[in-house]
Formats: sequence, C-alpha cells, structure tokens
Amino acid sequence: MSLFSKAVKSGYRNWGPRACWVAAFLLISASGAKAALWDPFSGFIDLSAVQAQVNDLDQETLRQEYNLAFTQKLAPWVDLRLAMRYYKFDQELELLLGGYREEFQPSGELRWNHGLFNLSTSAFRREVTTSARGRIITKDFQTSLKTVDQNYPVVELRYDQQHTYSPQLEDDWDIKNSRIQANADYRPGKHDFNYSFSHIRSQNVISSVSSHVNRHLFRWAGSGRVMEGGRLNLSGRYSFNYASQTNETNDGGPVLELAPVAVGLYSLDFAPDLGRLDPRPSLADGNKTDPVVPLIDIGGGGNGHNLGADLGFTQAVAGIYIYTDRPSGSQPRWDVYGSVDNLTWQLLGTPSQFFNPALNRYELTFPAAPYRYIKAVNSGLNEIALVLITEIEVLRELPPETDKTNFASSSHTLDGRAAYRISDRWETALDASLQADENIGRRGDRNRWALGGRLLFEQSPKLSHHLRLDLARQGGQTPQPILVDSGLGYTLMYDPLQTLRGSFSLSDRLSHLDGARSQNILSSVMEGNASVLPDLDLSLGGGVSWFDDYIILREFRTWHVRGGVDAAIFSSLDLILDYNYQETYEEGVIGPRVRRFADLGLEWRVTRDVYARATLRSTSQTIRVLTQDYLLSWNILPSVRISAQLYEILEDDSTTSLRKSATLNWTLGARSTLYFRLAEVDFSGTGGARTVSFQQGFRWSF
Amino acid sequence: MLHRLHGIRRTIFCLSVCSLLIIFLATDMAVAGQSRLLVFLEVPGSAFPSELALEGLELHQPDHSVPLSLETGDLVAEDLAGNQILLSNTQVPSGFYSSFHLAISKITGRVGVAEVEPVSPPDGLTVPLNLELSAGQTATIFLQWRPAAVDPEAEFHSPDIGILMPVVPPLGSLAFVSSAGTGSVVIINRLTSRVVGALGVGEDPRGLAYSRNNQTLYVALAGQDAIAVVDAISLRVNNVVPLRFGDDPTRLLLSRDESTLYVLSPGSRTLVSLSAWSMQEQFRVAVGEGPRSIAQDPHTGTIYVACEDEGRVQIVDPGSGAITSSLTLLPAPVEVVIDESSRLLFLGGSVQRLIRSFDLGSDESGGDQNICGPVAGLAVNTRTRRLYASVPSCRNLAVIRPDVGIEFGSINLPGRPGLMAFDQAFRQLWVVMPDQGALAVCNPNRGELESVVQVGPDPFQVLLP
Repeated sequence: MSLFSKAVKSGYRNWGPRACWVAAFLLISASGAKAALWDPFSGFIDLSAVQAQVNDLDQETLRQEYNLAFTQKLAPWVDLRLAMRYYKFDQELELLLGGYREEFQPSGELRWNHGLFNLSTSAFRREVTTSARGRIITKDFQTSLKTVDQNYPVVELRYDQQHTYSPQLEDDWDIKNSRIQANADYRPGKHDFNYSFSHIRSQNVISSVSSHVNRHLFRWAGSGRVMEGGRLNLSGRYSFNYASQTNETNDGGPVLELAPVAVGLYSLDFAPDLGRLDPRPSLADGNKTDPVVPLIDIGGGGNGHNLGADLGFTQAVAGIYIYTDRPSGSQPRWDVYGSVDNLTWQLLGTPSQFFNPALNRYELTFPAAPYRYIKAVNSGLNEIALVLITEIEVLRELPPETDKTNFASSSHTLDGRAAYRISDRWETALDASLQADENIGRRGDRNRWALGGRLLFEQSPKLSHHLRLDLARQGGQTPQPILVDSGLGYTLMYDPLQTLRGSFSLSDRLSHLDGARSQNILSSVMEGNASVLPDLDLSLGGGVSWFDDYIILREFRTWHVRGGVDAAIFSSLDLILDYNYQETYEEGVIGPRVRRFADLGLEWRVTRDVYARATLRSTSQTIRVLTQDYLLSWNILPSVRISAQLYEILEDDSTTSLRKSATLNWTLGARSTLYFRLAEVDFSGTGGARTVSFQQGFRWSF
Repeated sequence: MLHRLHGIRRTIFCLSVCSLLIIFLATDMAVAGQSRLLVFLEVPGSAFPSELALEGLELHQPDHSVPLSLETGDLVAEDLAGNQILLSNTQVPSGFYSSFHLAISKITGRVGVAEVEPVSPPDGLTVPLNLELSAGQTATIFLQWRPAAVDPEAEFHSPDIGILMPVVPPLGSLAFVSSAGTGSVVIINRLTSRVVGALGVGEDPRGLAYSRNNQTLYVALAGQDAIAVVDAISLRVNNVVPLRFGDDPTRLLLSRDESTLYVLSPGSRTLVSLSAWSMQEQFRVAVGEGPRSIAQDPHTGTIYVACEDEGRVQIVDPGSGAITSSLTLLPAPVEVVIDESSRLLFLGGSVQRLIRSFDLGSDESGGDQNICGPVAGLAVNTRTRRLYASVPSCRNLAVIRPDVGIEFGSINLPGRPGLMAFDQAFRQLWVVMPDQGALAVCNPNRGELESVVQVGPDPFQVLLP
C-alpha cells in the first residue's frame, strides 16, 4: 500500500499527515509550471472530503480521483491517446457499516483525421469494486467511420460492443451488448434528409434472455417560397420509424418479475417450521423508506424475525427483497420457507443472498417453488447495531410460454404548412398533419389527423387581429375511443404608443368523445403593459373563463386580475413586484375557491465583483406558502470567490424546507483549485432528515 | 495503481510503459493533443463607419503557424456596433502560441465624409498573445475592433484590433449554455449579453441542471455516455461520471432537495437516478420509446417523462423506481413542464400543433391550445402565469394560457428556437437558436427581442443559475 493511501486511510482524523499533503500540493500548484512542461502527458488529481451530521449521526466521506493521459501523433493525421483513471470513494458512518467504491480504468484511442473521412477506434477496461458486490469488470470497444465532405451525403458507420461481468459471481452477472449503426445525412439547399439504421443485440447470461432490435428511421424536412415575391411559404416534414424486437429465452432460463402481495406477514419465532404469521400490512405497503410499525429491528443479535407475505394464490416464487432503513451488514443469514396454509412451513434452503447498499435491501434468490405463503427468517450476528425493516417484496418466475417472441411497430408522420401573404395587411396559413401508427401484436393501430387555419389582419401598424380555427381527430383499433377537438380563437393586439401595448383574447374549445360532447372551455383575457419611464414598466390584466365537463357533469367559472411593476431603481438595482388574485366558483360548491400570488424580487449589482439577489414569493390557497431565496456572490480577488445562498419554504409559518450554504473557492494557479463549503439542508419539518456538512476539495490538473 | 499488479506482471508492465515512453519521447514528432479555440470579436457601441474584409486567421508558434477557420470574413462596423460575434471556432494542437495574426484583404474607411479604401498592411495584423493550450482544453480569445478615421498621410491603414481581457462577473450574473458544436459550456455575462468564457466538458454536451446548494452545474454528455460535474464558482470540471453503454443522456433534472439527479437517456430508453453527492446509480427504469423531456411535481416528487414515440407521458415514482401509471394526453409528446403554483402540467407535442394542460391536483385534463407549429421547448413564467412555447417552424415564441385556451401573441425571432429558460426574477427569457448558433434574449413583459448572443454551433440548452 502506497504512503499516500496509508496517509489517507489511517490519517483520516489525523491532521498532521493531511496538512503535509495539503502543503505539498499547494507548493506544486503554486509553482506556476506551464502545462507545456508536462507534454505529452496531461491529467488531474481531484480530492474531496465531507464531514457531515445526518440527524445527529456522524458521517465522513472521502473521494479521490486520479487521471493521467498520454497523447502523441504517430503519423500525419493519426493521433494516439492512452489514459488511466483511478477513483476511490470511502464512506464511514457512525453506528453503521460504511462502504466504498473503487474504479480503475485504462483506456486507449486511435484517431485518423483524413481530409475525406474520420476514423476512430477506442477501447477501455473498467474494473469497479464495491463493498457489496465485489468486482465487476466492463470491457468496451468502439469504432466509427464518418465522411466529412458536406457537398455529398455524410455517411457514418459505427460499431460498439460491451461486456460486463463479475469474476466472482460469473453465474450471476454477465451481460453482453453490441450495436451497429449506420447514418446518412444530406442537406441540399432547404431540404434535410436523414436515414439511420441500428441493430442492437443484447445478451443477459444471468436470465438467459437475449434480444435483438432493428430500427430504421427516415426523415425529410423542407421549406421554400413560391409565387411572385415569395408570397406562398411552404414547409413540410415526413418521418418513418420502424422497429422490430425479438426476445429469445435460451435454455428455458428463468425470467423474474415482482409478484403482487396481498398482505405482509410477520412473527418473532425461533421455531419457524410451525406457526402462524400475523398480518403486518405496513410490511408490504409500497413504502420502502419508513420503518414498519411496530418496529422490526434485525440489528445486532436480533434473530428469529419471520418476514413473510401472503400472495393471495399459489405462484412460482423465486426471490425475496427485504428493505432496510439504512445500510445493513452482509453477515446475517436468511433461510427461506414456503407454506400453503400459513401454518406448516417447508424449508427451501439457504438462498443466494447479498446486501445491496445502493437500494438498502437484502436480495435473496432461489429455485422457483410454488407456494402461496413465503417467508424469510434471519439468523447470525449483524455488525450494525440497529437496522429497521421497511418493506418486503416477492419475485415470481414467469412461465416461458414461448422461447421466442417478436413484436414490431412502425409510424408514419406527415406534416405540412402553407402560409400565404394575401396583401401587405392580410396573411393566412393552413396546417395539416397526419400520423399513422402500426403496433403489430401490441397496443393496436392508431391514426390521427389535424387541420388548422389562421388569418392575420393588420388593420394599422398599431392594431392587428388574429383569428384561429382548429380541428383534430384521433382514433384507432377498438376499444380506443374516437376523440374530436375543435377550437376557435381571436386575439386583438393594440400598441397605440411605442411604450404602451395591449391585447384582448377570446377562445372557445369543444371536445367530443365517441360522437358525444365531452368538454367545453370558453375564455377571455385582457392585458396591458406600459413603459411609463425608460426603466419602469407597469402591467395590468384580467380574465374570465367558463369550464363545462358534460361527462362527469362538472361546471365552474374562474376570474382573475393581475398587476405588476418592473423597475430599475438605480443603474445597479432592479425591483419587481407582482400580484395575482383568482376566484373560482363551482356548481354545487358553497363559496369560491380563492388563490393569491405575490412576488417581490430585488437584484443588486453592488460592484463589478459583488452580486446580491433576493426573491420572495407568497402563495395563498388552502394553506399559505412563503418561499424565500437569497444569493450573494463576491469575487474578492480574481483568484478568490465566495458565494452564499439561502432557500427556505414556510407553510403556514412552519419551515418545511431549508437549504443554506456558503462556499469559498481559491484558484491557486492556472490549473489548481481549492474549495471549502459549509452547508445545511433541513427537511425535518416534513419528516425528512437534517444534514449539516463541511466539504473540502482540491483539484490540480496538468 | 501500481500496487494492484503483482510480481512479474508489475515488472513487465513498468518496463513496457517506460520503453514506450522513451521511444515516443525520443522521436521528433510534434505534440498532438487537441484543444479548441473560440475567437470572439466585438465593436464598441459608437463605431466609426468602417469595413474590414479578412482573408484568414492564424495562431503563431515560434516555428510554425496554425490556420483558424473563419465564421465570417466581412466585418461592417456599423452592423457590429455594440455587439459581439463569433469569429472562429477551430480545433488546434495544444501548445504555446505567441501571437495571433489577421490577414486583411480590404479596408474601407472615411476621410471626412468621403469613403476611401486605404492600403491595408501588407503583412496583415499581428497581435501578441502568449496563450498556452493544454490537450482537451477549450480556450477563448476576445478581440475588440475600434474603428477610427483613416489618416490620409499614412502609407497604409492598420486597423485598431486588440485583445480584450473579459471580466467574469460573480455567479448570479452568469448564464451557461451547452454547445455540442464546440464540446463546451459557454459562459455568458447575462447583464451585458457577452460571452466571457468557455469550458470544455466532453463530447456532445446537451442537458444542464444546477444545484443551488453546492453551486454545481451538471452537464449531460451524450457523445460519451457520461455526466460532467462542473463547479460553477471556479468554472472547473470536477468530475466526469460514466453511465452505461448506449445511454446517450440528453436531459437532466435535479430533485427539489438536490439529493438526486435524474438523467433521461434516450439511447437506452431509460430514466436513471443518481445520488447527487456520490454520483452513484440508484436505479434505472425503462420508460419506453423516444423519451424527450422530464419534469417533477414539487409537491409529490412524482416524475413525468414525455415519450414521443410511445405517445404517452410515463409517471415514475422515484421512491420505488418504477412506472406507476401513464397519461395519454397527446399523440407525440415532446416537452413537459409543471407550473408549481397552479400544479398544472403542460405538454407540447410534435404533431397536431397542440399544447395540453393537466391538473395534477384533481387528475383532470385542463384546457389546451393550438399553436402554429410543433413545440421544441416550454417555459412557465410563474409571475404572469403564462406559458411560453418555442415553435421552430414559425420562428417565434407563442405566449399562451393553455388552461383557458388563450394565445396572447408571439415574440418573433430571427431563427428557429429551441429550449429556453427564465432568469430568477422572470425579467429575461433566454432562447436557444440551434441553427444560428446563438441565443435570443427576450423581455417577456414587453414581449420583444432585446439582443442576440452568438455562442458557437449547435447550442442545446441554456441555464441561468
């Protein structure tokens, strides 16, 4: 083990070695050595540490990343790049088992930048080791060829393959992927053609399922102006999308899925062969975060916990997931039992099991067995003193109905627009779109078309009218309903002065479902905006709408008013104020529903190097919510910057969310940075956690 | 890392690496790491009438030159006055460059009121630079052209062009835009509408997400199936986190408590959940064909994924990491956004030119609104309670209230709009225009375009922290 690793690991709380390394890095980075000194090598070192308290439990993490690259020109137009990356993440928790993640990745890349094409080939081998899963290795290889001459269609061919496996768990983790892609792009004038084909093959050795997908995609988009003076503007799009997928189950291997649980079961019983488990609904309520009540503690020496589930009927059970509220130990042993009557239990053996720290769950898998009742019983010592159970899930094995399944889908989309300028004052546009989806063997076919028309009349430079008419229909294979939407809209825009603008809008929308009227919305809004002074804008508006739902027989009316001020008080200080008031009256409901929104914003550029911002927002509906957001950033020196922010949400005067932080960044040299951050995140008002943390980080690149 | 190899294998590995290094270092091959250089040019607000025709740009090293691409060679001072343009976007070899050279073919100026064509400098114009480029770095050069009157007595007229050192303002004044064409996040001073820097992040950067608590920017790298983690204060890439083969991540969403980063991956047709601190994968769920955008209900935490080719919005419960239901509101939904104050979900489609609203509180369809074309982006102005929809085929932003079926009008743009974002006070609306390689800055209160900022080819998403 290198001296550096020893210093980091054992000197975690020892400031002496850490201070020496910090001093060494500062000296190196302050040396001001030019990057060219390191050529042809380049890279960086990134270190960061966090000391935190999460709900009064201490937590420390250390993250290290080292990157080294070597680049060299082998021949004219041919570049070689070799790189090495090492990453380590350590986490220590008070009372709990910590974890680590380590990555090691050598890689290489060869590029040939010819005048007519670009050819590149790259490969890497990534080895990831975690405290839970051991080693997982990923090998990746890619090669691509692409033409560069834009005067001809640009063609690209690409091949990727990746193999991910675990040397220790060879039978349990092995996935292979490969992909071939071909693309062609051609853009003559105002047209755009694109075709792409991809063939993706995936093989999951674990589940013995392999699949391959073929995709074709063709797109065209074009536009142009015709007729004298280009009065008629035409634009269109067409796309065709086809995909087919084939799944094969090799050797009839198992495919697992989550089984619905009727009710969770539990008992504390050291003789699990015989005995009834009692219902514990919170054990299977979908909540993986909150501990089951009454609490189930499997920490320390707490054995004999029978965690089970009633599946409602006999199913081929093949796995159990047991969720915990925090990372648990990997030492406890789980035995799995099955029963047909929740009274006598048969031991299914000691299943394959491990603890997944990313999801905080024990994963137990075993050969499928047909039972209605299933349970797991723990034994052995858990090195974590306190671990509470939050949820249980059961996996069932799908019967292999066919060894091979195939499904395909295709979609055609055609879209067009014609805009015609009748005269200097009149302009009209017509839109049409059509989409046809064919989903063979799955959802069923679906067709949609839509038409729209617009008319614009500029009565004068200050006054214009817009009229819109829309119609759309969607349907498909039964039992899909037929939806028809139609709409009519009118907008008047009036700008009597350069500093005064106003608009009035009216809209009516009607929907039909299978030929029957389903919904109608009629609305009207009026708005005005005035630039009273060069740096002072005022706005005022209001509106009313009627909503009728003929299917669920619901009607309501809504009206609102709004006023706002946008001002530059000084050249460096901006202010915004806004207020919205809305009332809704619903048929059959006594009294209106009232909503109020108020905003205050200040933005202050104190000096060239100091910036401050404050935003307050109040929303009043059934409850009153106040949101505060403050930011201060200051470039003390060109190389030293600080930033502080506070974000708080209060609901009925109680804090539900609070986030505040202060950061200092010190640029030591051209390629090195040191930072310190103090932060607090408090969600305890809503039952969440409160976290206070202090972070330190250093980065040096060369 | 060496301790991982044991015994003979370690010795062989060391000897091989050393041999390769000696061989390569001993050969006289030029260093070949690639960097990217963006050159911006601006003209002061009050510009003297003048025109400049450039033949080419070059970077000079002590022993050779590197030519740069030219986005536009014809510069007219009156058109550029008060604006900034992108002059060059080029991949160059890494190394040290001492100067920057402009080859000038023609100058047009004024003597009094007469227009003249003075003789341009025969050797062009050379500007001292002293720029050091590392492999993989994206760097920016800012030039300022100060047109002046032509001196009739001078043998030739040398334009006044110099290097400008931009001041990067504090974080609150910045805007970030992902630029797939440059592989970088372009940094903009949103108060002056000027690019002030660019940060190389990786291949094909797309979606952006911002953590207020950590002042951290997350960038989806579709070209390398990874997420870049950027410190927004020091503007450095902290980490590049690999995802899975074929993911092609495009859109990002940070949970309200900023503990989880959700990544939409159309390549694998999945939604991936990562811990925001450790960046480790928590779960991934298959959402179906063509996932395009993602939104979260701040009240319940439920996630909504618009899947264009599925023709539905998938509803994902982040607690269980599973799809709990789906909404069939539009035939081809592409954009989804939620208005926090009214709990209305707005959905835009790529066919039927329709935007539909859905009340998350009552689980009922709200009103809908037809607009003039398919939607490419949606943004909610919670101050005025209006929805802004970018409509590329009509080159405008539709301003609507779909819940009541009202369209207020539109904001016309010089190009086809894409994704957009408001600033925190809703005084500015920034709109990506991918075809123009630019951003449009609009005033939503006045309903007009204020300025255009050139940022480089293929911008995807803009974010204002």
